[in-house]
Amino acid sequence: MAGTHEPLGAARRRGLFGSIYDSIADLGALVQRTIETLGDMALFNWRTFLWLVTRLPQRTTLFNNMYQIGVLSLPVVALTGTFIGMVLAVQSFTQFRDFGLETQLGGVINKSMFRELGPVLAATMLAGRVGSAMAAELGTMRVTEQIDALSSMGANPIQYLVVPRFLSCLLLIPSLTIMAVFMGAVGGEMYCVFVLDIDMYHYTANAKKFVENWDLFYGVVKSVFFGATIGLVSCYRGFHCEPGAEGVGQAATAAFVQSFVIIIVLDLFLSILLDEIYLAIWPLTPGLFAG
Amino acid sequence: MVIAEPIIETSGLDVRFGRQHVLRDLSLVVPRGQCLAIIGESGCGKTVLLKTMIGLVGPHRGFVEFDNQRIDQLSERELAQQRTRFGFVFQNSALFDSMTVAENILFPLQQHRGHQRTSHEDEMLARLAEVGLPASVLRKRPAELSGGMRKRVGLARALVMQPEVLLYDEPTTGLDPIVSDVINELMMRTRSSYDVTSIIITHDMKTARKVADRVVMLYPLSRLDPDEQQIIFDGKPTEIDQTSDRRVSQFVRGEAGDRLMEMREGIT
Repeated sequence: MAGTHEPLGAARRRGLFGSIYDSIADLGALVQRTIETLGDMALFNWRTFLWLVTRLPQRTTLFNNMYQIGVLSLPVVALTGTFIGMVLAVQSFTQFRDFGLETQLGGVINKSMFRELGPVLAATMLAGRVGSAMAAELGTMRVTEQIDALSSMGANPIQYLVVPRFLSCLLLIPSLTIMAVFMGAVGGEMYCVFVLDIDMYHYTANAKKFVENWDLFYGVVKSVFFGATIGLVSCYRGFHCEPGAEGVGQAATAAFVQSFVIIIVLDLFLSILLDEIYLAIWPLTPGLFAG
Repeated sequence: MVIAEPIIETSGLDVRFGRQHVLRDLSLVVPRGQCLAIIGESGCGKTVLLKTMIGLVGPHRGFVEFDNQRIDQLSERELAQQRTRFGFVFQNSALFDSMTVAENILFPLQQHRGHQRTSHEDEMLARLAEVGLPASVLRKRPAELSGGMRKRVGLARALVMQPEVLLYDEPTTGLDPIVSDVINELMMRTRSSYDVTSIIITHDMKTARKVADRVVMLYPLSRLDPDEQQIIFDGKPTEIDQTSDRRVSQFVRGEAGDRLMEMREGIT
């Protein structure tokens, strides 16, 4: 027996040129890892979509996930929506009062809630509540070999674990967003009418005037993409969890952070795209304060 | 002596995880009906070998044949079908902790034979009785069970599809000597009642001696020369004490030997 031990990592080189060489090698390894992860993620998403169209999950599994993701998130999403509506009222009131436009606050609050704050804040809240929980749950299943056990019994883990979670996010996050938007509109109006003493009739009339069905559609379309992002990113992170408690924690954190970053980037591009579509369909749009 | 046809055959297996080389050019033939114990120190690749046999880990090179079919050439659906012919008892049981014991045992049946309630429940109760657990555990969650009970539920779940091959990953690790012996007896009883091929990964020489009719010892690649074979012992359990290989006798006797010196050098 020779007892030659294999190196755990490549030895670092000495000197200036060695450091430069090592830095280039580290950069190369980082790029390679990133490309591998992106490819792996694309494959994971592709397999999820494939299972989604070939075999739907069992009803009990799907309903259980829908309950966990949708029903249990309802109170926190409603509460967030309500307070965001009220905060918008507080922040905008002074400026609007200076111009004598406080009855127009409904238009601003509702437009912001429908198009931007409702979908983004609901998605952020759900990425934290639902996404991290899913990543931690799947990560624990990976670490404790439960995912291997599923495979060893001839069940497909993507079909059994990912598809129901993805489908629940895709279907219920838009519904939760509608709830957040509704509660934001109600919260904003309640604060304006009962605390800031704005006339209810004019507030409601202006709110109705400036908010169109398109604004609701706008928010819902965004939330479908946000829901899909939370489902896929969180499941991927859970599935590729590193061993140990630390690995599970990292998977949960990565699920939230990556979902959030993708959500805000997607938000920008979806806003541009949806505005372009709107302008293509209705080229002449009235301004917010136009008669 | 009639040698049974092979049911599992690994050929030139090479498994790596990044820079870590775990299995190298490993070839092993497991005849039908044999009870094989794979022993070796921690990190030598025993569990990886077991997972490679069922396709949970893909080899870098080489292949696994199950019942004369290369598993790397099977489609996803065919592989899933073949896996129903295996039963896998995991090291920490790997019971689904969101399910009750009953749901855990029923899971493979429902996945592959649909939801025929009565016949499945009869099957489940029969397997539960075979592993010596009372029906009162059925409604419990895995977290409410002791380690030995979880192992037995894991075995009942592995048996429910009446597999041809049973893979045990360290079935007695973490159990007291009495419960370990209960598990050993269960493995022997299972083998005789189901006529299954069993592959047992273990550190426990008592298990290997009592249950197996062949013992294979793997050695970590980090301690081998590039031209050395990873299997350093392959024979009957009775032959393992007569071996002249110091590495095998050190493991069998559980002696630290030069490892203590290495550890001290590593610290200083």
